[in-house]
Amino acid sequence: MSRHLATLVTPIWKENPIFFHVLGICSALAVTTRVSNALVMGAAVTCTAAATGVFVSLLRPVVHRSVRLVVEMLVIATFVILFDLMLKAFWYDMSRQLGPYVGLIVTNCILLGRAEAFALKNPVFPSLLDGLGSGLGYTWVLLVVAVFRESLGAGTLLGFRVLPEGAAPAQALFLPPGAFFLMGLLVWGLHAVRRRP
Amino acid sequence: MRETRVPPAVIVGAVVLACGALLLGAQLGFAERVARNVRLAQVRLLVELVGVTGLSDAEMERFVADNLREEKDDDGRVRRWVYLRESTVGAVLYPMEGRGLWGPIHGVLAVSPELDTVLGLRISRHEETPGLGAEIEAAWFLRRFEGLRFVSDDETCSPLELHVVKAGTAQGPLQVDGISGATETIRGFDAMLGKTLHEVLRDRRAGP
Amino acid sequence: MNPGDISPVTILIAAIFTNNILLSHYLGMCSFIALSRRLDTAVGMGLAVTFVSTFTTALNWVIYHRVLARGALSWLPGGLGDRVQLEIFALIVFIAVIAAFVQVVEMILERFSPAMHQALGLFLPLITVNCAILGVALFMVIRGYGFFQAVAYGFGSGLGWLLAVLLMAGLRRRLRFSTVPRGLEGVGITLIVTGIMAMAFMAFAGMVRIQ
Repeated sequence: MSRHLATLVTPIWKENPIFFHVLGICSALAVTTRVSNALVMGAAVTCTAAATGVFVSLLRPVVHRSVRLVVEMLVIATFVILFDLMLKAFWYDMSRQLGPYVGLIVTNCILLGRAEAFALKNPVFPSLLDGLGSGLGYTWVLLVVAVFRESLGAGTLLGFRVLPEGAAPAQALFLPPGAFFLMGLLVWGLHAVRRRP
Repeated sequence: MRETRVPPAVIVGAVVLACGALLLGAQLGFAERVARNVRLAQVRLLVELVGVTGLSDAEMERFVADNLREEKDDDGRVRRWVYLRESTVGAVLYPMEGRGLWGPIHGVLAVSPELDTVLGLRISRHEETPGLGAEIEAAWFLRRFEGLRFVSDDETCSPLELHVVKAGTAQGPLQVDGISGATETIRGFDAMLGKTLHEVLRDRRAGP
Repeated sequence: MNPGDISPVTILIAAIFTNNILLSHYLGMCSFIALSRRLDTAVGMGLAVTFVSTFTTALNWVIYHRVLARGALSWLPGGLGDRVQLEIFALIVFIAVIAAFVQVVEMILERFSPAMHQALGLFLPLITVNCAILGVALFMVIRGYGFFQAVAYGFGSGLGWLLAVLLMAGLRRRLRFSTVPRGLEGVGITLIVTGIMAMAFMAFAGMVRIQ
């Protein structure tokens, strides 16, 4: 049991996909202008990573070495498209806000990376946990950046005003440079914390 | 992996078919919901523009069906909506279509029944830069247009003069300040607004 | 599509400077961070990305508008085109086209220029998962570009990415002689420098005009 817990938790902190493997930064930054967007994006990656883990693992006995990449990409793309479709059906406004970035999860190296490194070599349940863990690890990083960007850049958090009405928002944080800076500082902070113990 | 003797091409083919079937099925299954969401987005916009609040989605759809008369042009596209409030015209709504810096800008313009004053406008889609050009959809910007009269006092239908200009340089009742740092977006917005107002003035010239 | 009024040249210039796929849209970061360590890999990858981006965008435009989009199949006889809706496969088809194209490029390089193939080595397959290229295809659809606009956009985005990675490689070379705080080495400092570059590129904002 504790082995399963380890599978779930390792990608969240110790081997965080973004900081440890340096994967999946692309779509991370674009959607962090609002906490709600970041949450939904995180959910998207978590769901698709979990589903991909399960199905790639299930397909292990029939997938030949030579075609494993194709099969992995097909599985990933199918689940990404499904998530996007559900978003359009049940939360249309959010789908419009996220734009093409949900679709871009297909090229998010986290999914392919975990499929190759883990799901292809492990049974179904651990693969599911690994997918979930990777997705959650991705999500909390997005959340941290988004909390800063939304509260300081727009003065709100999840739509609720947190900065007084008249305060001038730090526009720089809202625009791309701000995202890059925040991410870099976050990396720095995490390195410092990790080296502490 | 690779414990089966089924050729890889067959496996890939099977996966492709399975995924394809799943996606087509899902698309079919959700098509109606998605279409309704698209429609609702527009309905919400129209209802908001005529100043009605507090309705549920279904009520809004019924409201639009009952109180907004659609007028279409020869190609079957909606030319404008006439809002009828107790059998008198409350407002006339015109769809706006234009192009910003990065993509299309769509919106709706509400004018008074006399077709001479802007009652309000809303932007339904754009692809502009967040924080800069994207502010064209923000309330603080759109509010600037409310109550602007775009027809001259002597009742002649003047050539269009309502313009969005560089931020901070607006002079007179027919100029509206643009957004700092979003020059190209504003240029596209101005062109779109101009095109729409031309439509309005054409209708005004044509008489009631 | 109505908006055919922006000239492809404008789109090209905008894609390089004001609408840079990496510095304004955050796409293509993974390979950017990995490959900007050395100047030669940066150039090689950048050129490859430009090549792939241009041609796959063109291919994807044709496939999307003639096969996938709503009503695109209306040229099929018998009204069959109106009942079939293939738009849902757009993402899969795009990525498949990109992957296939990269595969073809790899084979051609192996045959005609083994030296270049050797030099680029593992990087070619990496292009397939470069979010920038898929992103270009997706943006092209969203913005409703016509064919020449799309090609200009693909070419310009590739060049923009090349420019960014080239600049970063040059900067990182100089950074080797600076004292970077230990926690920032590698990814961290690259991100910060990218932020500064993004700010610099924002200064190009007034450069692009649409008629």
